[in-house]
Amino acid sequence: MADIIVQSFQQAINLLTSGNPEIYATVYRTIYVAGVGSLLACVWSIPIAVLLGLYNFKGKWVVKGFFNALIGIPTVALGLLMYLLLSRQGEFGSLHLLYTLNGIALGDALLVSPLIISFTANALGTADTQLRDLARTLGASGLRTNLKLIRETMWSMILSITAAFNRGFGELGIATLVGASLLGNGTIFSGTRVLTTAIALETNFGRFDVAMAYGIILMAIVIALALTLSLIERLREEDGLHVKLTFWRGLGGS
Amino acid sequence: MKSTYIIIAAIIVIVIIIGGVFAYISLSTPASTPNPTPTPTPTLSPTASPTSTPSTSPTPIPSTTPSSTPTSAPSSTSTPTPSATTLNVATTTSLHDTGLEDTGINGDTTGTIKAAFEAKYPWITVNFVALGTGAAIARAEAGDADMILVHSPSQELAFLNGGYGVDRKIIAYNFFTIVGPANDPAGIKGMTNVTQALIQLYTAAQTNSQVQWVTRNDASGTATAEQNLWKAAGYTNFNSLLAQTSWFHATGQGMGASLLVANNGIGGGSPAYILSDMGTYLAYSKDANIPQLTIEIQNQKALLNVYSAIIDNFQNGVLSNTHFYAAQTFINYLVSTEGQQLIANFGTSTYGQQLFVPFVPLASGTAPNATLLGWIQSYAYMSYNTATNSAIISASGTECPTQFRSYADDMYTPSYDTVANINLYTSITAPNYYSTDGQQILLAQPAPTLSSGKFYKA
Amino acid sequence: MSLQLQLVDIKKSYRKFTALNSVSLEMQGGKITVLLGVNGAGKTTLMRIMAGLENADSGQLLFNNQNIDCKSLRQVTTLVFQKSAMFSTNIYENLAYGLKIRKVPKEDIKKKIADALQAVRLSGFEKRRAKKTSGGEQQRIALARAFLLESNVLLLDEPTANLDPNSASIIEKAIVSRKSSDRIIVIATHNLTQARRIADEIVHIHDGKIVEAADVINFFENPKSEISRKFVNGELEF
Repeated sequence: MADIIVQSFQQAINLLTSGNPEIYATVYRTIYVAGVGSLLACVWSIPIAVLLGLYNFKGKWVVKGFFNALIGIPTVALGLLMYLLLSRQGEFGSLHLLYTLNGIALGDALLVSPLIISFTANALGTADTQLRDLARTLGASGLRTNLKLIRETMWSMILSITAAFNRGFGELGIATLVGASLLGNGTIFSGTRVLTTAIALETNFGRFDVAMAYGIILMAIVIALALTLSLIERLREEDGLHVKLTFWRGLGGS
Repeated sequence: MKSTYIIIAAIIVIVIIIGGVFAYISLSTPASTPNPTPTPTPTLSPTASPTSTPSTSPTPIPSTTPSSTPTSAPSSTSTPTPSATTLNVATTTSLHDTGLEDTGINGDTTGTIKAAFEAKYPWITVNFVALGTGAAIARAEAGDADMILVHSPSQELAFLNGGYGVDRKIIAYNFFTIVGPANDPAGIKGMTNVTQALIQLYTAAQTNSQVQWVTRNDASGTATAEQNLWKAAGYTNFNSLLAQTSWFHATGQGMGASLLVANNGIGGGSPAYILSDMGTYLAYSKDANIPQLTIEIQNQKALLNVYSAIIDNFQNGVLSNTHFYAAQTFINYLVSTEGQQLIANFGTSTYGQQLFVPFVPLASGTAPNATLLGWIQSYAYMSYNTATNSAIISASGTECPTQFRSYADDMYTPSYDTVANINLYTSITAPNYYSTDGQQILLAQPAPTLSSGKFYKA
Repeated sequence: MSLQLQLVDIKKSYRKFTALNSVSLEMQGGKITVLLGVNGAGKTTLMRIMAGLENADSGQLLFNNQNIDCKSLRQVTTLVFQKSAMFSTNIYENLAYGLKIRKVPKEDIKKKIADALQAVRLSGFEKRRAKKTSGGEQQRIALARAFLLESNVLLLDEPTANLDPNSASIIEKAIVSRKSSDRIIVIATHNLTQARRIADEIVHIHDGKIVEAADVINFFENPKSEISRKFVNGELEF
């Protein structure tokens, strides 16, 4: 097992330095579907989260529980549902999204929506209720108040969007069923092969070191993103620009 | 504070209980017994043993003194009640997905190989591991399977030449088919020359966006066969085909998934042409999963698809723990009258036609067809070249060169060699292959004139 | 035209608990009205209703003799909470929030903020993170924020509760300096001495009811109700 890991790291370096455009395209495609999916999900998730977090209505607990449950929906189940809806015989076949990258992005958007809704609604709900009153007493309208509250909980929202990105980045079911892992020729939209389906493919061929190498690349990106966010959070704690400059100067000097 | 300790203790207790249950379950299932070591008793001499063994390749000749005592090891022919064995067969997804091996049609497992074989040999449990041909062969090479059941002569050749396999038998055959949209934008429907058809399709695809092609490109037998077809048509660089992603789409996945992609078309595109094995195509089209795809070309020599079985070479170090005798029993069953009949019958009631044509009646002369046999020979027969110490595909060879036969007993009697047991067969009965609408058809090429060494009698 | 805020027969309950039981009072511009009462008497609830942050269950609110709803109330009132709330931006942004809503031009905002900070003795604090200041500083910022908006009705809930005597007196001076005929100032407190110092009118609330309303001199020298008398003498048990 240890030798496979060592080989995998070597393979990972090989893949990245090979200059094969299709490999880079695979990485970009994964970023595309996860990124576009997360941003698209925000469009409807944030308003729903505002409704859930800041307003009270009958049966609110049912809706909250519903979204909480959907966070962990198996990607293959959602992928199957998307396939049935997007195929020629399906209701949304005319959208022509099956076996395209945008189809996967749409699937990812649906996948991560419960996540964004739940996390954001929670953050908004537990945010200082006083802040809402404060904004209102200072003369803010309903919409302005909500915007201010969103800005106040912006960091939680960014974290939830990052979590959404990670989920879309590493999911397999939707990419397989909606994308069919079509090989491209080096440009992003020429195919639908992403990192996760590449791992599955290489495993199927018995090329375990290459499969693991893709896995390493995937994890490296996820970890890099998490560390960047951690760093930003740490810098935020201090006071603005002054600290950031010191930090970078310190790096150069040491 | 106390409640924290209680919770921790409860979690530990639960984990121990779950762990104990798992341990109990895993330890109580009977472990597979080790393979009885084959011993050379005086009656079981290998069928053919050249006096001089090639020094480089691993020799199929039995080693001189096996470790276990002769009396304790059961011979292959007389096994009253052997201990339970698990036989792992590495097979291809396209063969497996037809249901012939174990899953049956629509979940009905009557008429599958596994059901019939285990009924007859209850001490052997057959497990089919279905992967792409490349991965299946890799499994067997690693010793995780006891035998392979695949349909890729070139890869089978490499398997034998590499010393991983012995005792190859051809089990059955059928034809690939090229399916595509009913309106046939490339105009290839009914063409008899597959090479010309592919050239015409390629040319049409350059200008007509309705002409689309889906390929599996997953190192499976079907994918290899397809690539060979493109090579024969002059497109030797498969990568340059792959690069034309506007009309040439590679899924890297199994037959069923690829058929679905071809049926739907990419994005909003037209349904695509695709090379499929008949079994998967029929299964999917019967369930109305691929309404856009109809048969364009079938039953041509270029589309021949031959299924063979090869046993792991237990004398190769890594593979010494594989179950040789169980595999041999299994293959003997497959080529027996009962086995061949089962294969022939599979799916006929559901699909109205044969999915697999048994090889033995064809080769032994009970259901002879010279043309078909000739095609199979040039496609899947092998002969050993002593100069290069390796085998090649050759029509004048046999289904398994003698150098790769080991403890074969009577697996190769009657022999289908061109070398021994020839009887000229003077009349050729009607072809035993039927089209999809149940009409008996004549094969495209005319029957060749009689010549020596090609025809067999029962 | 004099500024007037009138509450008529205001009732408010939370589930089973009646917070306000038929409260009626009247406040005029140019005066500081102090709502006096022990903790839990209903002062904060009344302030919130006056600020338009909550709806009364029944009753009327009249501003300049006209019915007024919550939304419009919020436009003309500003409430400073008992426990000051700060946005997570810096002090400048906190102070500028209300001004930006009212579309005050940028240069004016800068100047006004500088003046307001000076009034509460926090000059130069613009760039500091609002949440990173001490409790007392936050309270002064909150007051500065309210002063900036120059609303017609200024509602202050325990404005000097967390302040040391020195800061408290600065704030009191600032509050008093805000008196003008077009401004109603209402302060809720239980601090008798502060009330005596700065109030013009006293309204004594107890158990959700107004037990006495009088001008400051009469209230302290001649309390009419029993409860008020006890309160003034410091005999009321909490």
